[in-house]
Amino acid sequence: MDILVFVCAAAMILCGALGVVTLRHPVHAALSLVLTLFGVAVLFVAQNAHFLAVAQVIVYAGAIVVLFLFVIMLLGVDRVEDLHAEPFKVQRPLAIVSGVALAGLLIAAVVASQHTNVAARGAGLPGVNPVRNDLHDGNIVALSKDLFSGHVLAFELTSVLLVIAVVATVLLARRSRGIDAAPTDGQAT
Amino acid sequence: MISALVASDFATPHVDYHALAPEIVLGVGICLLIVLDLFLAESRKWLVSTVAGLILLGAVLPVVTLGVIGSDVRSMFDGRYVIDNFSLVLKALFLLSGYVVVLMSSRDTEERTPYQGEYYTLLLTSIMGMVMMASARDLVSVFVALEFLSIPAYMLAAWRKRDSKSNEAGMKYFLLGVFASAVMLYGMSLLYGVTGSTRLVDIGQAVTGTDHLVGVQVLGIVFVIVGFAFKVSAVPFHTWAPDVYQGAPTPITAFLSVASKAAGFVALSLLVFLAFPAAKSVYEPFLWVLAAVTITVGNLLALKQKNIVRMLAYSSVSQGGFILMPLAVAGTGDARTSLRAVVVYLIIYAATNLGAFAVVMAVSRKTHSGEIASYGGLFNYAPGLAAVMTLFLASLAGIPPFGGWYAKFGAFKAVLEARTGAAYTLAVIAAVNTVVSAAYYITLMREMWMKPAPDGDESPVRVPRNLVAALVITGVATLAFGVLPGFSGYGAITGLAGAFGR
Amino acid sequence: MDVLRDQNWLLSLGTFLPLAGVVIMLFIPKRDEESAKLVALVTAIATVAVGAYTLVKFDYGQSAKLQFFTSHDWIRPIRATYTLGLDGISLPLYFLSMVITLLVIIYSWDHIPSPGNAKAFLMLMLVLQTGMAGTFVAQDLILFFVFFEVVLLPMYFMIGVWGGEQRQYASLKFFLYTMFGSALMLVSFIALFIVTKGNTAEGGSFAFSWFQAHGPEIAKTTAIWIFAGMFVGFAVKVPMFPFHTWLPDAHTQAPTQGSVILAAILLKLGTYGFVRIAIPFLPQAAVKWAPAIAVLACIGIIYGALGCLAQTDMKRLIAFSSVAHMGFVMLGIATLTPLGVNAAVFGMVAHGLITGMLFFLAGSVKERYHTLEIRRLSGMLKQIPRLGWILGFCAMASLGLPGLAGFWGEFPAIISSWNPAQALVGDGKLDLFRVLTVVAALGTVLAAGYLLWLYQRTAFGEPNPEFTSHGSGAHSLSAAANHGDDHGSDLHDVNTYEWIAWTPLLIAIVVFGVYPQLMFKVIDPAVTNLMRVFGK
Repeated sequence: MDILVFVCAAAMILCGALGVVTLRHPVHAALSLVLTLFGVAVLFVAQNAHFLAVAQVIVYAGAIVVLFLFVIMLLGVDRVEDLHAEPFKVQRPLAIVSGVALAGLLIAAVVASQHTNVAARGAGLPGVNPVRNDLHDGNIVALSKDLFSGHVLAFELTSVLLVIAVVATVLLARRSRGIDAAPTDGQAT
Repeated sequence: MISALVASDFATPHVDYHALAPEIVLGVGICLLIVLDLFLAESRKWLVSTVAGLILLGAVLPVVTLGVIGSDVRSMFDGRYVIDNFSLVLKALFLLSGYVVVLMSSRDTEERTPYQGEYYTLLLTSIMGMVMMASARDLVSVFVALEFLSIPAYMLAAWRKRDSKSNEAGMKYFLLGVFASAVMLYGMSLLYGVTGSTRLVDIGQAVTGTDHLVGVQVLGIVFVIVGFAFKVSAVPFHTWAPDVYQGAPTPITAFLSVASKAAGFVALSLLVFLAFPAAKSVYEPFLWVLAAVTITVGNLLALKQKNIVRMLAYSSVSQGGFILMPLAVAGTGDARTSLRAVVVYLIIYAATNLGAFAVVMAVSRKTHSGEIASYGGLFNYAPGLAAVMTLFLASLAGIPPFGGWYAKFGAFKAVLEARTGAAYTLAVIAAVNTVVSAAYYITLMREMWMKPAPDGDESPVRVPRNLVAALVITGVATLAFGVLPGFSGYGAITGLAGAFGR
Repeated sequence: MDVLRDQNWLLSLGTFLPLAGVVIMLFIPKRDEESAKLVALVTAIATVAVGAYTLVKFDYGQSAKLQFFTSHDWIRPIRATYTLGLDGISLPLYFLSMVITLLVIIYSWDHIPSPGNAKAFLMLMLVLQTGMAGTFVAQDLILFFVFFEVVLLPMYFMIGVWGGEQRQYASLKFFLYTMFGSALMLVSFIALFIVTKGNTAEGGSFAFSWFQAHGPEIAKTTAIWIFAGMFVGFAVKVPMFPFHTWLPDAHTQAPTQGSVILAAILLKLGTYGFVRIAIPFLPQAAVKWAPAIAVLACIGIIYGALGCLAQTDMKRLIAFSSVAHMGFVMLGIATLTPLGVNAAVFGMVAHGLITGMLFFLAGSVKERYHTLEIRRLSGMLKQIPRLGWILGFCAMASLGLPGLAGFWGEFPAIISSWNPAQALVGDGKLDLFRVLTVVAALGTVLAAGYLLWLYQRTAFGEPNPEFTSHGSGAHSLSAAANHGDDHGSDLHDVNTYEWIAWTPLLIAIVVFGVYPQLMFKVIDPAVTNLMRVFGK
């Protein structure tokens, strides 16, 4: 049963990811991203991480992809980038070769490691808090404990990062007030 | 019942506010700066840079008090955030080099862009990420710190919005940076997957010895190192550096080549010394190759450059190789010596390189050119600038009595301490490269001292006061580290809390 | 090791006093050349005074011991110390460096080379002096390295800014060669430290005394490799064949002052390094390397001499003669005997005096004739007789005429190579050294040949009509310089500044030639002390 769920979800994820890269139309690409994100959510459910699965669907598949679609619509659905211009002819074959090699490497590594019982060794470590499945919201408890004790500083500081991201975005999008349109000199050129 | 369970389980994390004071000062300062910028009239925007400088100095204050009060290790959040001598020295380094960058910027931004508030806000945020990095002791904090320092930096690189070179810089930096983050994140998740913990110390205990080192662990280690290799622009992950350095505003270039790079090396050291100490058979050969290739390729490419910023960019690539050297022998050699060598190299390199960029800025105010050929005759019309530039270049080349020699000395010593054939080979490669690097530093010196001014214009250069201050700080530091290297904090780094079997 | 700690501030004062002058000169405006010269001169005189005081206070009865010894922590984490000390080997070189700097500054009073800027020129000279003096008194490997390298940049700028036509090429070559040598040298210094300190993480020291005690203990193969690194570093500086190619260029292109300092002092840093560091610290490796060094030294002697015979430029000829003379010094060192090393140290000082003097003369000839081409110079004895006679005197001294200083550097070196150290004889290298004795003796004949030939062509005969007032005067160089028919203004005989600068050197050449014991008795105990490890 487990293996069946895993294979299906993994196939969803991979197909979605391939679609994002290969599909020409931006809307189609965004939609196949949804497929990937749903696949991940399924995997979360299979691991009993219900809260993460829900968050995944609501935040990623719901909010973020919708945002993507908005932006695509605003910029114009029919705009297609010409991706055929190739300054270096070798790039694409080289990328394919190295991609395949990397995939082979990953598979080899996983195959080589499959007989090592990782979980057994990891469980004894002090940093691991096994999720308590006897509580119906054990997920949330474990997650919040993690966020608000061990990782509280990183968690809190991420908020500053979000503010900065907003500042940077506003700056990028803001129309110039004429001053920065002045030609820059050759100071660093 | 559930609430009772939770309450009994949850212990409020202990927060040592003194230890966190630098971060708090910076965080409050960033918000203050955003608000201040809103209410300042356009004519009084210069205040922003002053305030930004003061915030940075204010954040240095708790670092100093922490250093003075005690040498005991302050550990928070279950050992995920640690303040020890190592992190204090580096925090001071980041904050002070940030201050020098502010000094270098204030004149630059006044003349070039109206977005001063945002500029300094982003700069401070990036510095905050670095300050965090020095204390981060688990994968999550390391990653958040890395994003913290990178995201504002992408924006800063593209600061001159109408300049296509600057746009290219920002875009390239962003794309490659995000790619590197993704690779690193994948490596981190593999590491978490095989060890079951994000704390570096736990990972260090779980990743033990070759016999248990399964394929996934190897991949995790390699991916994480590759991610940071992008950050420190090690060859072959260096391709973004010259374009970004050339396109970004010069103070930002200085900032990226010094502070951002230092943060990458800090993270790399944390991983090598805390997370992978037992996996030396994996990371050592990998870093050995990275170091040797980085030094050599960086140097050879620097030899051909005609533009000073590109030359300094490749030079900084090659200098990065020297910093990788001690890490490449951290396991077989003396770990403490290696760690010291890295930190001292970072400190001395920061002073020297910031100074060199300050001179570039001062000279470009007159020549409006970045060509090396435009430095002709500098010794005649601006002997002071020529002399300090000579100081910085000699330091980069590693000529005593300027700081760089001590940095190189430390790197060589750490490598030779390993006493293996590979280590000796690396030392000889590096020694030969020192000579190659001297060749391009000397090209610039020759231009300044021995050639006439290309356009015959020998009017003196007017150097603004803030640049003078930056030059004095970096120049004095470079000289002092060379003559009395004891001040460079070498001795203070007695170890990395949790490393070296403690 | 026994040391004498009396007046231990003296060496620091003598070494860093020139830097005080540099700091003062920083505040003199560039246009005020007179003040700059004055400050430099006063500094140099004060430095020589300190040096003279050192000479007086030196305990000649115990010249094997380090005197005025001082030792402080410097860079504690790496065990480097600030250790200065002076024994019989260092003393002559230390004082020579001070005197040469003073004489050069006096000579510079009316000889600032183009493009001027006396302030910068003299500041570099004083920095150079600190580096040179420091190298001779440093008793710690790191301190030695720092002083050794301090010399590099000032010399580079001196050649590159104030040099001749090909100055940029020559200075770059000088810089890169030296840099290459010192990079490998640094690596081998660190390796030496790491090998001697054992497996403890902390411990060991960079002080010379530590290496003298523990250097001989290290494994032979390791020692040979470490010696190789040092060999490259020092051999470039000496310079030994095949690392010598920077020297003719640097000498020819350098301004007179630069050539004098280069010949008189800088080359000695390399040989001093062999005597003080490489050989006593790594005696087993030295025994293995000595035959190779001796062979290279003899190649240098012959090659330098043949090179001299092929030169058409007077300054370049003197430069090649340096290669030959340093070959004798290295041959003496390679014998690993007290006699050989005594001869080497004496040869270092004598070569400093004589070749320094020859470069002064070359500079003055160039100033007067605007050329150094040997075939265009002739009849100097008729035209400017005093300069001509001094040239003759120095040529005689340089070719090793008994009774002048040069003799006592070459002759004992050749003698000592007939009987090298017992360890070398035990290695079956006796025959090799005896062959080399013959080769080196041949070298002295060649030296006589090229120097006399030089002298004959330049000083004898009738003055070249080109340079007489009745001559065509059409040669572009002299015409441009004189703009007319009168060469008299340029062709003056030795002037006051030159007399002041040269007399001490000339006297020293005679005094040490007539009474070499004056120096040998200072050097010998220290040399014997260092060479004890080789027996005999």
